[in-house]
Amino acid sequence: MIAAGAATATRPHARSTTGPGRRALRRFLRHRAAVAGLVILGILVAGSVVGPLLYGVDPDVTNTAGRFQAPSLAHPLGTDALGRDLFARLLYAGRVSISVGLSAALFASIVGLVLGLVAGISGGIVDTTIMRATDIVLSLPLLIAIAVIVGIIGTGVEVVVIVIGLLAWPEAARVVRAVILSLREQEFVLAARALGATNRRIIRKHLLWHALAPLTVTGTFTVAGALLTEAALSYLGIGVKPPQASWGNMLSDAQQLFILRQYAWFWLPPGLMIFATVLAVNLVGDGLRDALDPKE
Amino acid sequence: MGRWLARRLIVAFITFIGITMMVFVLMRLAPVDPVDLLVLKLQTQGGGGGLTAADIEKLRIRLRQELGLSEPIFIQYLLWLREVISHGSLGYSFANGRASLEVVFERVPPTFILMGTAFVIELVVGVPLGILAALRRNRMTDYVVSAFGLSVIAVPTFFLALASIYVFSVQLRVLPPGGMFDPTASHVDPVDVLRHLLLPATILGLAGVGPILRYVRAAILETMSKDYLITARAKGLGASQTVLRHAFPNALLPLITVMGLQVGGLLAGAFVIEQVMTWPGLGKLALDAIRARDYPVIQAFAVVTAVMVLTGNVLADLAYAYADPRIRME
Repeated sequence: MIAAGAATATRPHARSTTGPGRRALRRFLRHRAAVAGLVILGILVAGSVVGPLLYGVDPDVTNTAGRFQAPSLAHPLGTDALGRDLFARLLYAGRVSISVGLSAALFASIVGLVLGLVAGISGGIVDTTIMRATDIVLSLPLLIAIAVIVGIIGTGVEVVVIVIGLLAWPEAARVVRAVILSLREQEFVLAARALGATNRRIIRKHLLWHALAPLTVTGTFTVAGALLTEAALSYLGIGVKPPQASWGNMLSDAQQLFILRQYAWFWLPPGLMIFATVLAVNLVGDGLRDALDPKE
Repeated sequence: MGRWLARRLIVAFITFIGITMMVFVLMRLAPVDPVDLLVLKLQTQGGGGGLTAADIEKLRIRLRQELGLSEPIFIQYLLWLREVISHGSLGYSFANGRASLEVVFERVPPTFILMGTAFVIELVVGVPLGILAALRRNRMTDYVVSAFGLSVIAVPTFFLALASIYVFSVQLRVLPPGGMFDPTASHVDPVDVLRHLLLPATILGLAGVGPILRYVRAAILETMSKDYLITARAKGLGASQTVLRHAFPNALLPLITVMGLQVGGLLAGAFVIEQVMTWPGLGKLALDAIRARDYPVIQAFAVVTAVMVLTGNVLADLAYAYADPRIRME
């Protein structure tokens, strides 16, 4: 950290020769917590992608003779009430939880990007309407809104992704709109307009890229929110449905006091996995925000 | 200020209408047709035995007309709204036939007790820690406090709740694992309720500490760099006095808005925690209704929750206006 600071101090003109991308990367790498978050996240993602292939145990095979087994060499995290291998379930659950978190956040970011662009470029009544809708959606407690929707139309992995995506976009829309509003009247946009560029071209060639940096930051935090939301829904039995494992629904068994009391290996590992993943994503988000903030 | 308040109230009202529209549309998307339900109910309660298929078909058409289901959806919504406003009715619970709003209102007090206590805990823990972190910026205390803030944001509330039950109820046996009363007690004992309240309220409060702590820290740091604070230090005021008398009141202002938004967060948290710790509040009722597909109760819960969140926002706006002379004078 000190070394990097000294290096820029001795080369005062370094900024003009390196691009904004490199500068942001350097700032991110100086943020130790963010790098730690990225490493943890890398391990968790790699573990859930490759892990199931390396550890070739079927997560859905039940074994009535081997129920409630404590962790051992054969079953590193023991077995559950149906005799299923909990380590295998943890790995497969990681796939589900992480991909639900990522795809829901991606979906929300795209919705937010489109609405933010439209609001920022159009102005007037369109802008007012979109921003009013943003206020409405933002004032809803996300988890409760999703629970109500899922409660009425039914649940499943796809439903959870779509509903989170349809409700978690306001931050992204606000951020994108703010960027567009701050750039809309600047010379390079006016120049493009004077040259006869259409709205569509101005968005695609000039504005979109400026919006992407802040959108990445909110998108990262949305991943964390989506992960927690999916976990809570699945824990409550209205998200990812068993037998498909997700970190959230793996904790559902611990609702029964005897499992909570005697079988800590049922609920401790998936709980810690959610915690580690969300923490890592948030650390990366903090790092990205500091690295991409042009004010610094 | 009158005009400012009126605008806020109108926004809240439009939001409320927007939410009821969403709830209404959702109810129409439900995979269960209300006419089917009524016909089924009629048949299972006897009396439908002598009905032929043709009779049932006639009944369906009639029910469809009476329920207004043959009208365009917008008219249906207005009819529904008229029913809500004139009769205060959001339907009757499928489970026990009672008015769904009544069922929901019963569960409001326990949730309020839980949320109120959690709210106090949130502020009592979050605000001082945020100030502390700001004063000890980039020192060990700051790192520890910030790490704590990050952790409580990242830990799922239900996991924290399960772990606390494990520690405090299973291992140490000092607190009950759930519920609101001792089931063997003959009368309501406030001390007993407090014992039951302690764990869920603390967990719910901790879940909200993170954002408040981070917010207060950032706000104090920002205020500290203002000219008038440098003046305060220059005239010889001590560090703690500077913060308490000059930085904190100014940093507090937007905190009021943050607190208003917390109502939604607390409700969402209570929704999960009430389930884990079997607290007999709104959240537990709602989840039971969702699991049983008790649509009228889900609908009433959604509307009541929306009203609570919007009231929280308006109250925060009022408090903000009261605290900030710039708005009061407008």
